[in-house]
Amino acid sequence: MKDDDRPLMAELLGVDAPWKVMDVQRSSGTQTVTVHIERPPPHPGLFSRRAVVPVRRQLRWEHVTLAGWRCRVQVGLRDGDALPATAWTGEEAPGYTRGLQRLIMDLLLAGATTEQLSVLLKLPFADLWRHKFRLDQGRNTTALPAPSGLPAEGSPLWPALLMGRVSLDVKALGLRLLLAKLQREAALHGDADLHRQAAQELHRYFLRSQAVLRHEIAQLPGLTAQVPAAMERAVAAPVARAAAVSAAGMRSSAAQGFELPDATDPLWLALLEGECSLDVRALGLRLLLTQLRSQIRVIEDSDVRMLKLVEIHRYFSRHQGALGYEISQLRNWRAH
Amino acid sequence: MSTKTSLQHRLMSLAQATELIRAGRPCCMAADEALLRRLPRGPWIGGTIPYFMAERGTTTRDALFVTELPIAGSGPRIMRYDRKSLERVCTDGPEHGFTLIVMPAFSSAHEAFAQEAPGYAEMYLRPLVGWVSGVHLDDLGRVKPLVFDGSTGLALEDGAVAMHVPVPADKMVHVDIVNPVSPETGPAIEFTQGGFSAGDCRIDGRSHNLHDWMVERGFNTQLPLVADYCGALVNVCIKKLDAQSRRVEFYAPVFPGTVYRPARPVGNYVSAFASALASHQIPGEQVFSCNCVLNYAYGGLEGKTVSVQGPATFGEIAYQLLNQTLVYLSLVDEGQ
Repeated sequence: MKDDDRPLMAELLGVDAPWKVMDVQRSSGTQTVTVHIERPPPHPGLFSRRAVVPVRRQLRWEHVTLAGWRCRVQVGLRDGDALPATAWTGEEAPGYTRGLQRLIMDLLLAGATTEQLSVLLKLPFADLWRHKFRLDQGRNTTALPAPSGLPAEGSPLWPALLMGRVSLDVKALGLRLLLAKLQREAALHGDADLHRQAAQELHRYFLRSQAVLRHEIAQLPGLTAQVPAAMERAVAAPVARAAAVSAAGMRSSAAQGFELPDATDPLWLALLEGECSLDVRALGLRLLLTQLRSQIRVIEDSDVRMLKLVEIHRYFSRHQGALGYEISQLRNWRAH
Repeated sequence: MSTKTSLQHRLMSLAQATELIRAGRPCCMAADEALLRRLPRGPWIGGTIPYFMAERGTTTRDALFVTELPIAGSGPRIMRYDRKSLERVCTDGPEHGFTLIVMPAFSSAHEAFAQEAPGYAEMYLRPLVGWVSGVHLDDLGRVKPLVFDGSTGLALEDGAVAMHVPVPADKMVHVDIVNPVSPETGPAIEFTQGGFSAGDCRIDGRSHNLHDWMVERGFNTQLPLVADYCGALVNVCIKKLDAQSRRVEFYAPVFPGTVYRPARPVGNYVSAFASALASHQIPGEQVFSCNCVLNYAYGGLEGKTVSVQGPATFGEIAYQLLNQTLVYLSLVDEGQ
C-alpha cells in the first residue's frame, strides 16, 4: 500500500491525533492488511538535537475486516504512552480490538452462530470459540474503560431514556436490545429503586462503550435539553401510559395461542435468575438452563448478560415443536 | 415402554453386519477390534467394546451390536475429529437431525470432550449422543480402545468419529437419559476447581479434603456423586481414592459451581433399572441407546434382561459426557 493511503486508513479506522497511522502493509497472499499506529514523539525544536525515542512495546489485535481483507492493528508504545481506549485498540493481551469485539457481540445478539461469524469475519473458528468461552465465564467484557464527556450518572437523561420519554435513534444492536429490555422491565414495576438501578446500568453501558456509540452519544446533548419538557408531559399523562401498558399486556395474553416473547422480555431473565421455576422435561433444556443460570450468576457485563437471554430464547425458538409442556408454563406465567 | 423400530438395533453376526453395510445402510458398530477390522468399507462408524445389553447382558468378542441409522435428505455424513477440532462437532451437525459420536476411552479427545463439551458452540441446540469405546476389563492397560471410520477403514486410538444424521422434516429428535441412582438428601459437595480429580472441596459449606472425608465415612466408591441439572441427574463415577495424593479420581470431570451429592445405595441394579425404565416412557421410535459398563459390572447385568438394548460402554454421551447412565435417542412424529 502506498504511503498516501495512510490518511485514508486513519479515516477508516477513526485514528485521531495525537495518534497517527505510520505505515500500512498488505499481504495479497493472505489478504491481510496490517496498520501500524504510533504517537509520534514531540518535535525537538529547530535547533535541538533530535533524540530518538524508541518504541518500547508493540501491541497487536485483529480488527474488523476492510473490504473483505483481514485487518490487523499494531500499536507502538513509547515510554509514557498510555494505550488509548478506542475502537481500534484492545486489551493489553493480543486478541480482538474493541471495535471487532463490539461487532462480534452485535452479531451474536442477532443470533449468528460461531461458524457464521467465522465465515463472515474471516476469523479462525477456534479463536472465536475461545473468545465466546471467555465471555461465558465472565472473563472477557465488551466494555471500554471509562473516559468522560457523557451526562453524569445522576443526570435526568438516563431515567428519561429508560422510561421512553425521550427518543434515541440507536444503531448499535447491543444497546438496542439492552434499552428495550430495561424499558420493558421498567414498565412492569413502579419501584423507584429498581428504576434508579436500571438508569445506572444504562449510564454504565454508555460509559463503557463510548468508542462504539458515537452515533448515539452525538444525540445526547440535544436529548438532555428535551428532558424537562418531556418530564412535564409524563407527569400529565401517567394514567394514560399505565392504561396503555396494561392494554398491551391484555392483548398479548388474550391472543389466541402463544407467541414466544422476544429476547428482551423480562420473562427470560426471570427464568435464568430462577425467579420463576420451570418444570423442564427436555434433557437439552435442562442442561442448557443449568449452564446459563450458573453463567449469569457471574457475568456482570450487560451485553454478555443480554447474550444469555438471546441464547435461551434461541433454544426455545428452535425447539418450539418439542417444548409444548415447558411453553405452556411460560404462557401461564404471562397470564398471571 | 416401546422399543419398536424398523431400523436394526441388535446384536448380530459379522455376515449380517457386512450385508447391511453392502446394502448401503448407515450404521454404528460396537464390537471387538478383530471383527471391526473385518467389516467392508462403507457408511459406518464404530468403536471397540465387548459388553452388550442385548436380549440378555452378554460379553462376547464374536458378535457386533449394530445401530442402524435413518437415511433422509442428503444422508448421513461421517467426520473425524481430533481433540482440537472436536469443538466444531455440534456446529457440523445437521440443521434438522442429530449427531452420533464415538471416541476412545483414555484418549486426549475423550479428556477434552469431557471437560470442554458444555462450552462447545451450538451445544444443546443440536442433538448429540454417543459413547466411549473401551476394552475387555481383562485387557485394561494392555489393549487400547479404538474407534473406526468405516468409510476409509481407518482406526484411531485418539480422536473421534461422528456420523451427522439428518432426519425427515416430520420427525423430531428426542434425547433422554435413564439413571438408576438418585442423590441422597445429605451432604452437598462443591468444588472450586474442575477436573478428573479433586482434593479440597466444600461439604455443606465447610472446607474438607474429599479423599479423607470419603475414607472416614467408609464411602462406597461404586456409588457415584450426583448433580441435579434442573431435574436431569448427572453422575460422576469414582475411579479410585488415591491415599498418596489425598485425591479422589473420577471417570468424568467435576465442574465448579455445581452441587454434587452422594448417590443413595442401590439394592438391586436390575430392579432399579426396571423401576427407572418403567417410569420412563420412550416416545416415538427408538433409534439409539447405550448403557454404562459400570452398571453392567456393578449391577451384575450379565445374563440379565433389561428392556433397552445397546452396547455397555466406558462413557455415555447425551450432549455431554455421562457416567453410569443409560442414554437413548428416539424419533417422534411432529405433533405427537
